[in-house]
Amino acid sequence: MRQGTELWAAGFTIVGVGAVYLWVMLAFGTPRAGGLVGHGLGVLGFLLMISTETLYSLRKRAVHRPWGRLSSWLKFHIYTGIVGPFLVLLHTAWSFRGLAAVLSLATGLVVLSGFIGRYIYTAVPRTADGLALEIETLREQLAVARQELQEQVKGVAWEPSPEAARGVRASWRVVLGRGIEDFYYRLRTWWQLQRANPQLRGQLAKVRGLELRNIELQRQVASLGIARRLLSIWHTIHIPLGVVLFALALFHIGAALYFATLSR
Amino acid sequence: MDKPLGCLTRSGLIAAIATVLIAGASALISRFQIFSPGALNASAAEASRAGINSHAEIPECGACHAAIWESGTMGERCLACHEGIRAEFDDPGSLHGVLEDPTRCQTCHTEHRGATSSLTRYDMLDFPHRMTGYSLAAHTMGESEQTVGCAGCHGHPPTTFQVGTCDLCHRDLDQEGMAAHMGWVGDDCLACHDGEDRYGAVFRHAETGFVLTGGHAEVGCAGCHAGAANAAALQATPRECVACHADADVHGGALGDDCSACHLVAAWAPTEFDHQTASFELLGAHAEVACGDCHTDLRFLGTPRTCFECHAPDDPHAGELGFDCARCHNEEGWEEITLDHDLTAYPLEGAHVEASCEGCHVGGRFAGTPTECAQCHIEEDAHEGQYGTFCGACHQPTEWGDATFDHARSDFPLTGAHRAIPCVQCHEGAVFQPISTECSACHGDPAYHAGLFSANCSLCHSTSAWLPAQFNLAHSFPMGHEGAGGNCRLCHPDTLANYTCYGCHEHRRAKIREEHEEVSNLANCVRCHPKGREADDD
Repeated sequence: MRQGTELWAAGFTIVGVGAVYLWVMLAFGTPRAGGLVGHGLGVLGFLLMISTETLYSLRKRAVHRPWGRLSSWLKFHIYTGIVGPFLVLLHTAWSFRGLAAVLSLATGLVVLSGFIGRYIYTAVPRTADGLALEIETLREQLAVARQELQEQVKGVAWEPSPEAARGVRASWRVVLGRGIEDFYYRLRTWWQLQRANPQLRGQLAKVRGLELRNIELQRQVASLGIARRLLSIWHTIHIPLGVVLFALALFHIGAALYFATLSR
Repeated sequence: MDKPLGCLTRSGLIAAIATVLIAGASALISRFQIFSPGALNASAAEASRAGINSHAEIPECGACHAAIWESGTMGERCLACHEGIRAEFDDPGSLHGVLEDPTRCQTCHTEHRGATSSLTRYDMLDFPHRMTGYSLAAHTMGESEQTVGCAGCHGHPPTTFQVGTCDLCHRDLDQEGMAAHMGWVGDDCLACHDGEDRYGAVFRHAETGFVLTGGHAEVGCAGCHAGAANAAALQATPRECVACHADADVHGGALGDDCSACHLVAAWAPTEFDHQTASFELLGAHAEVACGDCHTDLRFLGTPRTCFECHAPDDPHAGELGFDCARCHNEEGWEEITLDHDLTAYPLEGAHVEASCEGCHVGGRFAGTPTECAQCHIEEDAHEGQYGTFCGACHQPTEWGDATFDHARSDFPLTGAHRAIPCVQCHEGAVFQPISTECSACHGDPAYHAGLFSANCSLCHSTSAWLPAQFNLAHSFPMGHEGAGGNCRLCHPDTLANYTCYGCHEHRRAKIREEHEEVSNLANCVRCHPKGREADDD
């Protein structure tokens, strides 16, 4: 399964559901939160959020009776964690008032927290099954990568990148800022490839790829402990946020049943 | 499981408890206002109640929302304040009085949509307007120019309706028609129209059981429904013809009330009366004539049924043939005679069948028509009366030439070849009497006879044929000479007055001369041989 598949799937779902919602809104007006469409969106969104909150956690703890890959459950967790809140957002009928407004805010916070958590989570190298790699394994992978890079750069007019030349030191900035650093590296590499001799362009691209892999491994080796600590801190924040969200949601559902659904 | 679920961790439980406490406290402090999905309507009521002038001033949710464990409904709490609405329930003419369940206020009236939002929000297409006694089936609801909104018919409040409102729009659609219509029924449209099956141009009169066709389709509504200004009066309009057309009854009521027995709706004339029901089926020319030709002054009772009663003036026979016209004529016309002449004393045969009636019945006179041939054919008598007046003795009715005279009855029975020749060969010029019965009267004496015989042909000939003939007179020379057998021309090749022996067997001229050197006349053989024998000359 490709990396980021769950994000694409969630994006397509949001665009699709959003298009249908837009058509309904233009044709019949904004669906009321208590109407058939609005109510349906709310119920479905909440069920997805419940799934987000429970299924992945249960799978993580089911060590002795595993069912499905942990990474797949994480993708499902991310997918439902994005689509569910989006449906709940449509359920609000764009009216944010009272408890419903707090609930919407809490939902947004949990989603945002989830994105941050996924970013930190990917800083910790894992196996295909989602199990975290140990530092020794990382060092072995780094040694292999260096050997491969050295063989590849023979006969190539090549200068190490500033990131490679600077080296990697253990820091929480390395974990949180790696995305920006990688972005600049990829941008600079693209620019160099555009100006390189077309005959050597392929080899140069391979060298730059290997170099980036070296940098990433050096970063993981250097900051594995910091990344794990950040992930633990994030859990400490994310879990209460989720609990608050569902507690408020239960209040909201109870009030809706009391004042509307069961009203005579 | 090595670790508890996140919600069961200490931080999770603390967060859950804190959330419940804070949310619960907020609900109590705000009197559950935190659950309000939107602001309540702030429009001031016509009269305050318990110091409250609008919904927005209601302090508690429970004022409107009945708890599950409490009796009563939300609608009843609405009506507790809106007493005027409750009063409408008993008025079937009011808006709320026609609703199936008027206590379900929230069906049409919704709250929490903002301080200035309307409290009444319902889809006009869903509103059971038919329950008010007037269906909107013919009025497309909406807010566009092509549709009708509440304000199009109603004032404020929408439960009011002014008589004459319909005219404001419908006069634009059909000014002339509306003016005429309202001129005789007035402007209380709802007295008749229910918007569903009794409205305007699409009203189908046929569904009332009275189809408007023919003349009825041409008259205006007031023509039949004069003075009817409500549905009941319209429906009470009599359906019998005489109810409206009694004054137009040209029969003076003599034929009863069932006009439709004879007349069509399209017009009084032509009628569709089934004349068979009067035991007088109209056939032929009778079907073409106008009713008034027989029913003078449109009087139907007592109309004569026999031909002569009507057609006496038309009788060219001046009554001399009696009064039963149908004996000879039928309904197709006077010219078409259907008399069966066989039933008369003079059955028509042969050429008489083809002859025109006028040929015998000159001047259309039938009585006293002669039955003797000569009485009609006297001028055609080729015999100029020589055989009397009974043509039938010889002639057939087919044609004059088809005569069957029995010649045996005459003095000259036809035998032999006489039987096969046409009459005129003997009776030239159709002269039949007197005529000679001598053969020579018809047959001349042939040159072959050389005048040897008189006119008595029968001496030798029979009537069968001229030949063979049988000579019965004295003949000195044996007629059976050398097998001649009575064949005259064997010895008399030219005429009977001469003979020759030459040309037969040994009678060659050269040979005869050689043998008769002493005879000078070698042509007269009989002189020496009278019996035809060689030894005769002895």
